[in-house]
Amino acid sequence: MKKTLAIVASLAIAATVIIVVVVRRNHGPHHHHDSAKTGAVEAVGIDQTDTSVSMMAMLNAPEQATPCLTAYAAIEAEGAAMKLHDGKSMFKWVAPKDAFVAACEALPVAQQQCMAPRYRRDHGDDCQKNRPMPDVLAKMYVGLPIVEPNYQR
Amino acid sequence: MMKLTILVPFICAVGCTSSVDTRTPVADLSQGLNMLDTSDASWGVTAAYRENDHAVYLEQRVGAMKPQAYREEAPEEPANEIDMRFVDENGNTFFVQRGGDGYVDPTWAQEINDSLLHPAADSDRIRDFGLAQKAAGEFAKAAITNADLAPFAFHASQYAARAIPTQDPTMVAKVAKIEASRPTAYGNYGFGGSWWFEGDLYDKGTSCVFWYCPARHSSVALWAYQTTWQLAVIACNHGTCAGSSKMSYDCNSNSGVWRDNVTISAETNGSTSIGGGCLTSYSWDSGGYNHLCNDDSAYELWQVKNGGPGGGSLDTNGDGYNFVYTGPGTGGDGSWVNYACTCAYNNNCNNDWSRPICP
Repeated sequence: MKKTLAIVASLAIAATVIIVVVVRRNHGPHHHHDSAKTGAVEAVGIDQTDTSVSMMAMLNAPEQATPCLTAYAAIEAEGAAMKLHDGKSMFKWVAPKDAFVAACEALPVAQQQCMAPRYRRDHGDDCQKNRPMPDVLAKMYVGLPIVEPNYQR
Repeated sequence: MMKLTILVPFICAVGCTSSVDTRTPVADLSQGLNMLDTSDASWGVTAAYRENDHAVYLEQRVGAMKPQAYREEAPEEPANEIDMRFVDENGNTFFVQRGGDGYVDPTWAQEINDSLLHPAADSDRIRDFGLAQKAAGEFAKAAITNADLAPFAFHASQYAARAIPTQDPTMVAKVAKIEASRPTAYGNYGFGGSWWFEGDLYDKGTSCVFWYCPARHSSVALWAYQTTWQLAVIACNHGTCAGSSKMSYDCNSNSGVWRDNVTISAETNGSTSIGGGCLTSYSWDSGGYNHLCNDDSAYELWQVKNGGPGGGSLDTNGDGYNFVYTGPGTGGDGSWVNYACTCAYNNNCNNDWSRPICP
């Protein structure tokens, strides 16, 4: 009885192995799915930093009629996001809307386009090469110097 | 025991597949691009490129999903960190690009170290880099037309756009300097000889709006040289990779000496390793038991300069493995910076949102 059972068991296992091998041949190699991938948990922290919240709010601000209006809408979206996030804006100072838009519209057209955050992201090289003078930018905004979250701990 | 004997072949039939299994022998490959394994895009791809009687293998493996901020800032890049490497027809890696701190497939680390024990003849390695460039170009063209494979086209196309090291004026100039530094007594290094390491630092502004970038991302390209360039390890440090069209070259560090018995591994291997990255958690809020990309870059550059036998120890806090650096920064204002793999050990990595210097 034991011998019969052993034979049946061996045949069943052999059949299983053959089936698996055939299936693998038909469907390509199967892979060990890696357990060593660095954790997505780390990524959550990055998305919660003030800088990330600011940037994402500006990139996702709605498009307006002109690049300069889009730029100001992005600044307003950043301000609202930081209020909600209880964080610190990436700008030290921003001109009032009328003055901001007027200064922006005084820029050459190519530079105005770069004021729209999504355009600037998608044309980074061109925008970097076509940078206005610092005194011109200072009429619109002043960035906050880099201060790390843990700087004063 | 009997159960185990029965189970082993069964389990292996189900799952014992490695990269080696999917590398079809050169003689069985068609000329040009061969897609060897594209069955699971969430895992990665393997391809080969044959020209006459030689071939290289292209492998990509999918790692962790990048933070949303990274994905929105660079939507043209893959959403996940991806490791990519080229392997020669003898199974030796000669180019690898690591998305995060460790390899998605941990077996790559040992295989890359093994490659240092089996350098190719110069003419073979030069041919390999050339074939890799063709492979990358053809692969990118094929992958971009397939929705599942499109994420794998990005790094391949970036690679294809680069000059191979022996045709890159910067790398050619480096060789002239390296060879000038070769001690006469060691003038005839054979295969399996000593290594010279170069580390090139690249960076770019991050979180940029208008003309303001509040932080910088950095990445290091490590090159290993004997009598030609044998191996490149690109540490992307979780973001855009060194050599990418969006990264700017900053500066270079080198080993300054020829080293023997080197390995390439990560921070916990301490002073006997060359390259690798920090293995603590990755976080922009780098102040605790974690680090960010610029800490990785600082570590990688100091490993190039001081790591390994014959170099100084990076064990600067005396606990056997932790890297810390305190010194002048790159802000131009004379302020000092703190980099570490475990930032809690070094003033919470003050000012590490700026790129490091090249030591």
